[in-house]
Amino acid sequence: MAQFIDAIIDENGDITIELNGYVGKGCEAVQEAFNVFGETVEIRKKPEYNQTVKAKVKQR
Amino acid sequence: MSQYHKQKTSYKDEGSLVAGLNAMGYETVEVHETAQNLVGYHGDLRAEKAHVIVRRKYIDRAANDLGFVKEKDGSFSAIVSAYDSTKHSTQWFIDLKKKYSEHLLMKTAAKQGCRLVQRKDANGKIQIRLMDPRVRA
Repeated sequence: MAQFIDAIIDENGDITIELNGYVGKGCEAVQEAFNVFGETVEIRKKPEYNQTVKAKVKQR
Repeated sequence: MSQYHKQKTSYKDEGSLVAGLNAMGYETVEVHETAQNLVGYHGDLRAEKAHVIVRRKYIDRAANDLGFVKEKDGSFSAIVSAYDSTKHSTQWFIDLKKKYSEHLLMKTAAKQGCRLVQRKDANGKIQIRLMDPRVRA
């Protein structure tokens, strides 16, 4: 399955990153690698299939 | 003499901050290991010091230097003069943050071996899709 990183930089410059197609520890490693934007305010694992992690990071 | 004020930011990546400033039109940006004094619009040396500096001549004839000082936690605080706060407004800093975030995202993606699949800019939002060719499990 292809693995994608989908990022949205919103009107305020805050960034939301969604990891798609990753499973388990591989997902966590990528999430950690991309956790460079500042304070993490939301990390949500999608329950379906446990294959996607959504990590929202915001900058002040 | 125009008063400087300090503005906290979450920028921690110096290279992305410089790239962001370049993208905002400031092609010449000084980077110093030791903070240097800013210069006011009269050419006067100011007490405020910064590690990343856009000199006033690149901003406007009547401008003061724009600086970013590295704090103990590694983040950069902007040092902006009251006189230039019309140009370096809240919206200007939001636009800088967008440029900073995009540069840092692409830099991190390159380190991770990811490639850009799509970039869309719509309604003030930038959507970026990256593909990770490595199988991670």
